[in-house]
Amino acid sequence: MNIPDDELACDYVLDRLDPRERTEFEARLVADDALRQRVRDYEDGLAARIFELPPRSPSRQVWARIAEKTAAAPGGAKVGWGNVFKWGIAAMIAISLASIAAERWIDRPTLVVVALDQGGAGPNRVSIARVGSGPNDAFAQLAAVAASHWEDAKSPRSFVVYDPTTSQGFIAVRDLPRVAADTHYQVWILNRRTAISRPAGDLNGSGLYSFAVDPLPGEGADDLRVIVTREKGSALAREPGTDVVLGG
Amino acid sequence: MVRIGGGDREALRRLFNQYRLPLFALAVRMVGDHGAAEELLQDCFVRIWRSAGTYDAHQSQPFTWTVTILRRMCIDHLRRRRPEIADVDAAESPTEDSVRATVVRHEMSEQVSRALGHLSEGPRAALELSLFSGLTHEEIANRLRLPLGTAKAWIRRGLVALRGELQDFSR
Repeated sequence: MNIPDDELACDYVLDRLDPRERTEFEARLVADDALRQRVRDYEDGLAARIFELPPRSPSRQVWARIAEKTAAAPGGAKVGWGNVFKWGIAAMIAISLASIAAERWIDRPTLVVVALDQGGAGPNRVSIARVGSGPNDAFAQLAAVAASHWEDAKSPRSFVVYDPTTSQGFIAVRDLPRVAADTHYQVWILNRRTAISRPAGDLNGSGLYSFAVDPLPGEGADDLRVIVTREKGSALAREPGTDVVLGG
Repeated sequence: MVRIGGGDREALRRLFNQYRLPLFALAVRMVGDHGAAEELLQDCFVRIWRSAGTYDAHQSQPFTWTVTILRRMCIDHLRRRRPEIADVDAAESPTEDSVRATVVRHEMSEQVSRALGHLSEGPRAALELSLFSGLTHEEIANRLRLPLGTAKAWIRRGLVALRGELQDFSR
């Protein structure tokens, strides 16, 4: 850990980076265990100081007002089947993560690698021997496999590596066309059975990005698909638009 | 957090109950006004509701992410209310002693006092200003009449000292 990285980690936790620096730093966090640990260290310090402030309780009306406002404003993005069909199933490219739920229980976890830009190509599976037992170990292995595919010239230009054991994944994108200043790319996790979509972050261009899926009740891994859309405006969209650029 | 992003209002309520005390304490500490702090806390959770889908567990812990949202809102509130915070160079800089007097004299627990006790007065002031005042690092350095690099180093040292002494409350 060198000094600039140490400074960056502290500034990141204290929200002192400008948007460009923040984006670059978050991209590095994906593959740099030492940097991630440093961020955790600073986060622990920040949380500890805040938790040591004399506790104060807001009035009961605060939650009532939050409940009122959130009832009027949709939260997590949900789309109806009509929207899904509007995109066109063929255009969605869905990443089918079929038949992997059972692999949660085998000794050698299987990562699923799916091409985003080779329409119709089925998923490949990479069986790995798990090293360590903690969530960080699993994430580090997942990152290593994703990075290996990223550097392999024979790999698809854009792909997803997903670990059904931990419900974490990486999405790799290359050569995304430049977008106008008022447009951005956004990643979505879709449940094709319930038609619920969840925004999973934005893309600033080519790169390797991590994502996590918190399975909804009754949701199996084979229900999940990933797409990338192009959205208007700089703010993250709450519902996916119709301009699907990957996964279709 | 992902459940909140999926539209689970009960998950939002649980998050509110889990974090409301420290977050409200933070808002009161930063803006110094009970009513304004309640409004900021309320707006913070509405914003969480709308943007939870963008949360990335690999980039920050849920508490830190929530704190970041609330601190930004508090800083915006302070800058609207007290323009001099946004233009500290144009204002007369207070002395280091006055900064200490206004910033460091808070009810700290025994643990925090012990953790910060390892720091001299200057680093304590720098850390507290960084966490709660809404000043930029440059502004903090100006106020404390320090080189920017020294102010940043003091702030980092303070956070590490806290982390070393205190339990992890956020997980």
